[in-house]
Amino acid sequence: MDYSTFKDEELAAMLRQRATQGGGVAVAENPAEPLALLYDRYFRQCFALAVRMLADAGRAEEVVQEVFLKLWQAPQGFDQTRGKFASWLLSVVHHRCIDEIRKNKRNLTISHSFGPDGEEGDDPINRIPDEHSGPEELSWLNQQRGAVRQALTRLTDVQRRVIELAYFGGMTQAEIAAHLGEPLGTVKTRIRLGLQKMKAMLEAEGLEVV
Amino acid sequence: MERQEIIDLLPAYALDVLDADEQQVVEAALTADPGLRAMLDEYSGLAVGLATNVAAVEPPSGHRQRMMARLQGTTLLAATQTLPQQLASRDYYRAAETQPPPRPDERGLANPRPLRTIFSFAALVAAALVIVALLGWNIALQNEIGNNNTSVANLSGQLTRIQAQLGQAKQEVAGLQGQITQAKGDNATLTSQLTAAQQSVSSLQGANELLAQRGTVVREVAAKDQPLTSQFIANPNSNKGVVLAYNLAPVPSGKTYELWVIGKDGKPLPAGTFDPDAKGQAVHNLTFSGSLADYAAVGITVEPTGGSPTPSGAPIAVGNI
Repeated sequence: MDYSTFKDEELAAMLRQRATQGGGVAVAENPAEPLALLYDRYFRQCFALAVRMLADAGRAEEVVQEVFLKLWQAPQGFDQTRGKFASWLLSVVHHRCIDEIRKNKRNLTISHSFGPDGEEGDDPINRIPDEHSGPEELSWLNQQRGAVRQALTRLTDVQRRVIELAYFGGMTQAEIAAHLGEPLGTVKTRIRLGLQKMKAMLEAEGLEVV
Repeated sequence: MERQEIIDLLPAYALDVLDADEQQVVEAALTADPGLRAMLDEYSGLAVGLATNVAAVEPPSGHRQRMMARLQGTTLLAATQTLPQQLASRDYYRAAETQPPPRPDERGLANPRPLRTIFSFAALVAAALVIVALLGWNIALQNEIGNNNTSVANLSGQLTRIQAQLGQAKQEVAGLQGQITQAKGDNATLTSQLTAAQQSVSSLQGANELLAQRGTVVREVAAKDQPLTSQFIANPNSNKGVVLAYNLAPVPSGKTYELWVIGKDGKPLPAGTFDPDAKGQAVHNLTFSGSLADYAAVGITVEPTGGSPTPSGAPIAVGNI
């Protein structure tokens, strides 16, 4: 059977079915095929995120593959009532990268994205891929990307900077404050106002991120 | 912490930048307040949006093969990890574990070191062979499970098709039952019409027999202000008579026509009820007590269904005998 037309959530359900060997959902003839399809669909995006956060292609591949192996072993971790599979997967990769960063007490991203003097070495807006950089079938990811890109362009530089450090750098607010040499309250305010502003802009333009 | 303070922390929580204490407070609040969870989901959506806004990176070559190798290794590891559980489930292994250890003086004799080494090596080889055999068995079972799953999927498809056919058949049966019900209704109507026609034929045959007898009289029963025309037919030598009525108006619901024979003393006696057919015609046979000579007239009235013992109103038609 050709499973390539199956939706992410259907493939995830097949993985759960394989794990529990219960009834109700057809199991793939090749039990690993649903995982392989999900891997083919999302490895590129997950890998890009992990490389962005860890700045190490080898570790990034290791982390992403661990996430997929975890999905294979415990597919119950994804609850489709809480959102899309791609959203959940990227969140897991993100959390896994943060664990990796904090475990090693290093922040490799900082040296790549921002210099110690606070100058931007690599403007995230310039690094945002164009509409054709991702797999064509991942239209949902493209939609997310486009919506958030628009919102990011309207933030102030300092707001965008702390959000980048927080999300991709895996630093706590206190660590960001120490890194930038700014008061903790200022950092907290910039993060809060930055995300609130993005959320308000997306809502005002009828764009939705889920 | 106030709710607004928790709300202010949600963006940072979504980015996972809170310290441990703040994180704990927010998670406790999220558990107790579904509204906060909904707000967090919006910020989490933004966070995922950030994840999609990273520069494309060319995946390392061979990553897929490495992933599949790791996947296969995980599966094999899972298979071997079940081995101790399977062994532990066997009673004789458990019994061996519960046996008391040999005494020190016996241990030296019973397990001389060189022999024990040989046995250990042999045991390792045997264990390795068992593992290999079990792995092979596991792979065979996986294949069998795969085949069974395929069969289940095929059977599921067949079941779905059969259920669809069953649903269609049920609809057809329901349609046929509707037609049968309608046909039964039509049949009842036709039977009723046939019965009425048979009664009319029977009544007309009675009238015909009377008319064939010598001395039979035919009298008009005249109506007042109505298009009704009717005739009373009777033979003085018998106590039977027939009324033939035409152009009878339909009676209201709960009403019927009733025939009366009126004695010479002017007293009306009930002689039966009748209803017109669709054409306004009626044939009513009657048997009266005594002889025809005892009666002076016949009359027709409209009475409640079932008839009345005495006329409740003026006659609509009267005829002298």
